[in-house]
Amino acid sequence: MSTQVIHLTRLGQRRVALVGNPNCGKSSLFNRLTGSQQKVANYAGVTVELKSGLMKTAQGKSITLLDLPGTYSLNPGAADEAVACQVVRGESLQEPAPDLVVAVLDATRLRRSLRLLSSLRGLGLPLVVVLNRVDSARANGLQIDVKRLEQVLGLPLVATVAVNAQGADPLRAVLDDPLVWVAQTAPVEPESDDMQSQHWMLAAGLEQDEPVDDWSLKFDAVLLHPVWGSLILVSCLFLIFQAVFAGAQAPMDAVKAAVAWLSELLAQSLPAGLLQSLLIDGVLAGVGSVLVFLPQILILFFFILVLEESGYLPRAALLLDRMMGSIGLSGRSFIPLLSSFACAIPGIMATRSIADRRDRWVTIMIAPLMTCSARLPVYALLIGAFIPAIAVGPGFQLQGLVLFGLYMLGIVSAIVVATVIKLWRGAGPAAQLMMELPDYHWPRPVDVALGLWQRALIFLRNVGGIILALTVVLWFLSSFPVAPVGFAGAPIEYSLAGRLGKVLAVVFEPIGFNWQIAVALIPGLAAREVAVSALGTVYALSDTTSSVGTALAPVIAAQWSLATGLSLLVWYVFAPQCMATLATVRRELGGWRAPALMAVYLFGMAYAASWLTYRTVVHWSA
Amino acid sequence: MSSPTLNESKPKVWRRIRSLRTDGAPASEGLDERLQRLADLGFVPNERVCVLRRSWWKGGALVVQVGNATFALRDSEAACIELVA
Repeated sequence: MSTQVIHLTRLGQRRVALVGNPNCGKSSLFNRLTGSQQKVANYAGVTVELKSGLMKTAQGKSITLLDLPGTYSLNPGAADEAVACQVVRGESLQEPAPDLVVAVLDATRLRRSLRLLSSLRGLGLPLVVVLNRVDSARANGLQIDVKRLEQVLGLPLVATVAVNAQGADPLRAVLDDPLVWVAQTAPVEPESDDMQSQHWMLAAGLEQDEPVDDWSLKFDAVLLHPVWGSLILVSCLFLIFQAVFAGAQAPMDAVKAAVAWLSELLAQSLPAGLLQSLLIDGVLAGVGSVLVFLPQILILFFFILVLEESGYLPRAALLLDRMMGSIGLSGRSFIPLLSSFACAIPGIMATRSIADRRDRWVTIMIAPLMTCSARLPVYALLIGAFIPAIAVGPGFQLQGLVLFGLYMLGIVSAIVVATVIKLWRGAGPAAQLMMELPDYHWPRPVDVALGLWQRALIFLRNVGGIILALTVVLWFLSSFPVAPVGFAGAPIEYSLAGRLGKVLAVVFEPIGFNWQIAVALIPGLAAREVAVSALGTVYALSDTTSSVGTALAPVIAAQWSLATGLSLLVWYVFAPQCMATLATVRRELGGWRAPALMAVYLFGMAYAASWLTYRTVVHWSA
Repeated sequence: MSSPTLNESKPKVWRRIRSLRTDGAPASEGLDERLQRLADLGFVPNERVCVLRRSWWKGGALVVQVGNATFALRDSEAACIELVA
């Protein structure tokens, strides 16, 4: 009995790494094999690109599967490829070397897949070869004799179609064979990987040229067109922002209703007192006001994932290469910057794919100016409270336009900052482009769903952890010391948070922030969306008559001037209210100089822009 | 008489790669890495290449088909790729 347990545990610890060229269908294969049994190294972790998951072989044995970043060779060109190379070479400090490498070949691009396989043979690890996308190759008119190729390679080989439900089963079966776990000491001929690749193809009867994917060429004729392509790109981005606001309304109302219902239930079933106040004013008001924005964040991520999966993103990067060149960057900076619209942290980590040091530094510096999804709760709250929900022309909502304007303000500021750096420090030589434009394909719902699920988990983990903790701390600071009987103002004004806020309010008075905002900005330094929950808590406790619950928007709409509301909106375009971003910058660039510089310049811009906004609106409405 | 290079090639015409150029190209920092990288991406001798699209701007990026893969290259990068005349 006990030996069996040990046996199972040992098997569970067997580690298999998937290695292949970028866009070879490796990640789909990984999703197919592990299903929902996977974890993405968290943002705070080492690398966002390294995924691991549990898979079962045909006989039901558990194996840990690693999905490594795609690489063209074992001479890494950029930092993300270096991760893959380090892991398979056993040089990674974070991940032990795998017990077996599954080399994923793209059947439609055999020559270069085989080049990578040739260099993988030199590692001395057990190798299993997977021939993926055999269906696409056949559709393109390429017949591959799998048995013959297996004999030529002298390695266990299985054909898979990661898109089909049973498409990965041959790989599950072959991993049950104990022989594949033994490294083969095949004599490696001392010739170049490309010679080896060509020999293999010749021997397998595949010497003809590989057919070209016509569909992608036809799509590119339009999508890469300087005029039509650019128009399509801009409309695409604009539609996404409209959808984020219009499509999220129903699910947001549902979340609001659920929180209000829970809050009512607690108010009735608990005796009035500290515990009731903690749960309703602290936990529900705080966490509830952030949870409401989950639908919007998921819609934004949905579009980013679909664009990524379809193969469109590198095309967008190419269209923008010229524009990026004029501000001293290259198209390569586009994908990290686009990711920063979801969250600056994966965006900053994605700059690892930029080989040029100067370009990478500038991209990291302007990444926080891209409007991340954590700003959405703040923007949504303030826009909902201060911008009327009226239509301006067919299909355009004023609220959606303002949101679009805030995104544009971030982008324009980033352009200005990059230009200033270019004028001040020089542009340097043009950085290398060499960017693959993969075939277009329909995003698979499973892959998009898994990606969304992981985003939702990360967001909820934040709500459950950091935001809940800070909300409770803020509730405590806002509730104690308890105001004496007969205190004229709201009880929170007597508390620690209230007094601190009033001191800080002196600094923020010129830009129109009241002491409640000043209080909320302190925990809001941890993460932007925390400010919303903090405002929820502060106002729930400020109200002397009844529980405010989750209806924060009408309260601030009634209590703040329009100038204050807009000033806070503009503050959030710039202010680096996110410790995690600064910590990531420190880790990626090393040392405190870069994050300190970033914090100073962003807070400076935030203060200046808010001052300008506040003064203009006050003057204009007076 | 040097061989034609990819950046000078007419669009939509299939050619074959002769070699990656180590001479003639302006000696700049990181040239060796650039050639290694091009070879890793699949710009290897005897492979078919074709310029699919040129930028409307002088010196802008090219869209290049090599074998069955498509890449965006800078003009200076394409200049390293020598074609069979």
